[in-house]
Amino acid sequence: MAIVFDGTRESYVEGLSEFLGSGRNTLPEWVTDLRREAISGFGNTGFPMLSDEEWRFTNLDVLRRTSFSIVGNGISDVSEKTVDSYGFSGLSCVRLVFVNGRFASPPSDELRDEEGVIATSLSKAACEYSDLVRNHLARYADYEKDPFISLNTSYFEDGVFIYVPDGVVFEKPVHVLYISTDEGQPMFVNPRNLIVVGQSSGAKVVEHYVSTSQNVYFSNVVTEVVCGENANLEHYRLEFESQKAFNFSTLRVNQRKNSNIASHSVLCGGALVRNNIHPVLAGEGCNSDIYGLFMSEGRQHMDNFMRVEHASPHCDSRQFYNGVLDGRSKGVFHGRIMVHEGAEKTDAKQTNRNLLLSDMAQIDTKPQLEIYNDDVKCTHGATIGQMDEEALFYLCSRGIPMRKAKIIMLRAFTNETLENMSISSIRDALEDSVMQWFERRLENGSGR
Amino acid sequence: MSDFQKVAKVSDIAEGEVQSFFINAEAIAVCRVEGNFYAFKDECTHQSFTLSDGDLDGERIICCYHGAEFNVKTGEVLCLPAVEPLEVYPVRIDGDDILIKLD
Repeated sequence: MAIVFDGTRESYVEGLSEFLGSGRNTLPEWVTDLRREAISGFGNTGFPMLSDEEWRFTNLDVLRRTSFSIVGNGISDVSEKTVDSYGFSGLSCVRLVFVNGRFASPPSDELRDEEGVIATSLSKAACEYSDLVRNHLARYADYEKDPFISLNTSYFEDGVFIYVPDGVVFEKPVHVLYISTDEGQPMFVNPRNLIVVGQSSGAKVVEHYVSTSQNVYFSNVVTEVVCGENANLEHYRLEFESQKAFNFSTLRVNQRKNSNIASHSVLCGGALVRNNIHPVLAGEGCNSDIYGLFMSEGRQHMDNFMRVEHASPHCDSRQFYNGVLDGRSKGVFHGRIMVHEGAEKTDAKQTNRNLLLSDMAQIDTKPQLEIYNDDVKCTHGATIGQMDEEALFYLCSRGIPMRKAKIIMLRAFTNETLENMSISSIRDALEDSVMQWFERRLENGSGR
Repeated sequence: MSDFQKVAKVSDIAEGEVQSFFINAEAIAVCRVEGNFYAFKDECTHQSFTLSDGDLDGERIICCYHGAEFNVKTGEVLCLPAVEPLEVYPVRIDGDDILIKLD
C-alpha cells in the first residue's frame, strides 16, 4: 500500500501514523520517538513561503499542490549492469547502493574492516551500533526549524552510515549511489546519511544521485557529518537526477578542533533543486572549503543556500561557487557567513561567479555577512556575466574556431571549482560531463 | 522545440476565472477572457509571487501581493512595481482540452 501525501501540511503530519503502522519503520523504538517529535517542526511551518527570507527566490507552490507517495516496497530491480554504468572509470572504492531510498544489498560492498571502519546502511547500523548512531543522529540537523529536515527525520527509511574510528585514515573513497526508478507515480523519498569521522582520522565520501528515467519524484536528503579533532573529510555531492525531479538536500557539518572539510557539489539534474550546506566550525582552528558548480538549462530552478557558521576562534572558510545557466533556467545563490561573538581571528571568503549563456536565464545572488566580532577578516563577492567577447576574439585571432574557443572558456570557468577535487577519476568524469553538457548547449544554439 | 501539452480542460475554467496548473515544476496560469483562453507563467516578475492568487480584470491580471499588473494576452507590464514582461504561452484548444506550448 502506498502512503499518499496530497501536498497539504496535514497530509504530511497525519501520514506519519500510517507510515509508522505500515511496517516500513524498521528502525528501533527510539527512532520512532524521534520521528514523532520531529514531525511537529513541519507541522508548525509547512512548506516555506516566498515571504520567508531564506526562500524568497524559490516558489514552493508546486510541492504544496502535487501529490507524492511512499510506494509499495520501495525496491525496484536495478541490474548490476545499470549500477556499474554509474561508476567512475579507474576508481577503486567501497560502493553502497540505495534504490528509491532503500538499501540494495547485493550490489553493495558493506564494510566492517579490522581497523573498525564501518560503511553500511543506516537502518542496519541503528540496530547493530545503536549507541553510536543514537549519539549523533538528528543531533546537528535542526528538525524543529527546518521543515525539510523535519520531514526527512520523520519519514527516512534508510541512508548510509559511515564511521571511521580515531586515528584511522581510510583512503578508499566510499561511493554512495542513490538510484531513483520510475514507480508509475511521483515518489517521496528521504535518504538520511550519517558520517562520523573520529579524532585524527580521514575519509572521502561521494554521494551520487541518479535516475534511471525522466520521472517526477520528491527527493529530500539530509546528511549529518561529524568531523572529530584533527580529522579530514572530503565530501562530494553529485546530483544528476531526472530533469523532472524535485531535489532538496541538506549537508549539516559539525567540525571539532583543527578539523578540515572540503565539500564539492556538482548539480546538473532536477526540475527544482535546493542545496543547503551548513558547516558549523565549532572547534578552534577549523578549516572549511566549499566548492560548487551548478549547471541549469531549460526551465530548471537551482537554489544554493550556504550558511557557514564560525563559532570558535582561528577558523578559516572558503566558498567558491560557480553557476552556468542556459535557456530559461533560474539560479539562486544565498551565501551567508556568520561569525559568532567569540570567533576572533576568523578568516572567511565567499565568491560566487555566474555565467549566463542565454538572454532568458536568470540568477539571483545574495552574499551576506553577519559578524558579531571585530577582529575578523571576511570578504564576499558575486559576479554575473556572459562569455567575454574580447577573450573569444583573442582566441579566434589565434586560429581557434569560435566553437572551440567557447569550450575553452567554459572549461576554464568550470574548472575553477572542479580542479579542487582530489579524486582524479571523479574530477575527469565530471569534466567530461560538463563538456558534453556544453556541447549539447552549443548544438542548440546557446553559448552566446 | 517542445510540442503542445495538455494543461487543463475547457470545462475547468469559467469565464473571467484564472487557475493555476503545473507542467513539471513550472506553474502555469490559464484564464478565460471573453471566451478566449490565455496562458502565462504563474509567477509575478516582481518578486515571484503566484499571480493566479490575484484578480483578473478583463485582460488584466493584478498581483495581489504588491499590485503589479500585466496584460494576460501579451505579457506587457501595465503597472509597477513589476518592470519585466510576463512570459505568455501559445494556447490551442483541442476538443475539451487546453493545450499550451512551452518553448
